[in-house]
Amino acid sequence: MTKRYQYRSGNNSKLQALRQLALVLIMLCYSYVADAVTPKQPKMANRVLLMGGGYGNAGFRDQLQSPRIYQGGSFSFSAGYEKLDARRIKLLDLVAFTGTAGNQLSGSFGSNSASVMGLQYTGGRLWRIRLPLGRWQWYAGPAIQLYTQLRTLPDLGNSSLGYDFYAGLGGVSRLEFPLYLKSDRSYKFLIFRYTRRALRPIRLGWQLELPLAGLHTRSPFAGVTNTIGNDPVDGLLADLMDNSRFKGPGSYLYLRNHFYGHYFLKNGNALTFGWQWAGYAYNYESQPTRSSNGQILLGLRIKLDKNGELRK
Amino acid sequence: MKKYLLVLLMMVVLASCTKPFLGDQPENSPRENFEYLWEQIRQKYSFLTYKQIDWDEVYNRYSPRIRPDMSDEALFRVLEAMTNELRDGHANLFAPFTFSNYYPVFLNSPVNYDSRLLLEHYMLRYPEKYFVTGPFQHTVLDTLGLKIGLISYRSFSGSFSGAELDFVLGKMSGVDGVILDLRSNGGGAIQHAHNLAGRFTAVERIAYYSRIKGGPDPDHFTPESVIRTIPAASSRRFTGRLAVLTNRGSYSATSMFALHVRALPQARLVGDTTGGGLGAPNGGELPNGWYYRFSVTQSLSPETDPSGNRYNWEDGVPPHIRVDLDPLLAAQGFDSMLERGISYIQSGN
Repeated sequence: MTKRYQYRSGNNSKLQALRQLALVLIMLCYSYVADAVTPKQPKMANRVLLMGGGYGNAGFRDQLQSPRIYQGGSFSFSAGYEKLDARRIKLLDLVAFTGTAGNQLSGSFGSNSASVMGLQYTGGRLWRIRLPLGRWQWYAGPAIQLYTQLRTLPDLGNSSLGYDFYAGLGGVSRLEFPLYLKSDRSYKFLIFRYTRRALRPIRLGWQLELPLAGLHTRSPFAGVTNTIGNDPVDGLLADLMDNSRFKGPGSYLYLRNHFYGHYFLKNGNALTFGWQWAGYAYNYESQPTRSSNGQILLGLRIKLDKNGELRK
Repeated sequence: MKKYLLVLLMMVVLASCTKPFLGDQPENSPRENFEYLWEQIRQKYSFLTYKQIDWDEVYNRYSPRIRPDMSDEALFRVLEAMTNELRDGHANLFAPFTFSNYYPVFLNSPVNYDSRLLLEHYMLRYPEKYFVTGPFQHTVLDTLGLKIGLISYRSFSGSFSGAELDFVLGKMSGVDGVILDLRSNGGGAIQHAHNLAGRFTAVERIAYYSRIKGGPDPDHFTPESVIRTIPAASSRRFTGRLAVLTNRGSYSATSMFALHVRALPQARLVGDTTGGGLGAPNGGELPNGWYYRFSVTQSLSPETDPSGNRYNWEDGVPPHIRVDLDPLLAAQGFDSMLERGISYIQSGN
């Protein structure tokens, strides 16, 4: 870790920042045709485990059950595994959340409530793409995406269950920026002296996921799920199969954003912090469904090998 | 450093797309609630064609009654009247201050049930044989040497365990027949109907066919699902003569149970036509937060009319043996419907 943060000077810093942002967005738009051109590196890789949890919000609107928007707090758990080298990233990423949502009614009758739980999974392989932006590092590649959401509005009785399951292929773009926290301070307490490291590496990143095509299934048109058959489980499975629809680009919108930072410790592990957001919009016959959930996530990034950090 | 902070700020903003995804809460006006409910029924109600209801004509009649300044109570009464045009006990509206139901199905019919008569002169005839096991009241009657098991089940909402039902049917071992009284049983969980029916058959049979409204077209239904009467495995069963008592208050899951009964060759429906309610209800929420529900399925009997069409008994499953409660006999302590059931068990007719 010998690289120092290079301060730049100039009076047009805002303009430069806007220009860099524009470049990032243009690069994202052309991610499908970008080429991996980084020279080959020795076959060494870092394997890391990511675990964390957090709190955020969850909201949905399912026309099948209600035209109203339900929103509330949610607790989340995240886990991930990554294998990284200088050119590639293999990632498995899972976020699960559960919460209670409500909507405020007019008058003195309080609010209606719903429980919502979801699971988001992404498994992908990303390649590094060279950017003319100094230390910005950009990776892009295909991914398998799974999204599940279950909603229950207890007051609706046998109409209470609503769900969306999505499985498909998509694209992942990850933009990272390493920097170093500059600090040369030292502290003395009695006979002990604590010296803070002069350079603390930090990596900021932004991962964006978009769908290409996949299979979506949700509650049937009339909302009956498992109440009519001899076996509730068979009925639910039949619902899932009968209402599966293949969705190509444009007919289904799924967006997942993850803005994060890694604060590296001396031992190579890192504290992680971030904001994760995912949403989807799906127009199924006359029963559109919308979902949005976001969480502040805190956790650990644990190195599973003894290699030094390969990505500087 | 400012430029990086600006980039980070942009990322955070881009990472929070909640508002564009979810949009705004729907407009909550009397007009919006009326239009929403009318449209939901138009798209999903499963008996508009069967009942020959002109839903557009209903709109034209009720739409002028919606005013922007009307109270919640006034709006509720208009929506209640509109849903009652469906003539369906499964078409309900639930507001925080009341709910609506369609009552004429049984209010315009003979009661055909006297709970005190049943309890006083039959259930408690032999107090030592009277049990209340879970939701079941039951006893064994000895009528001129004929042993009759008598079970009363007041609501299919009443859950029961396999052990409870084993106990009930255990008391019926050795009887000549069983009378199951489902009069004024307003329904409940359909799964309980399936489970109970499985205790009265040794052979799997087709009870009915079910189809779900599958799209906005009035006659768009999903393919039919076969609902079977499946013998309960590893449990006590009674497969002798069975008389099931029904009246117009026997509704919903009870009517579906009646379809199970009609599939059993040793069983007879005795009494009045059931109240119907063979469409499973489903619903949702209005923009103002009130709940609604109405029938979204159809249940078709495997029995067919002379033209070969399956019977749709949405308005009531007919009994094999039609009989009313005779008030003169009731005054003397006799339940004429129950006695007719005993007669069936004795004679097979």
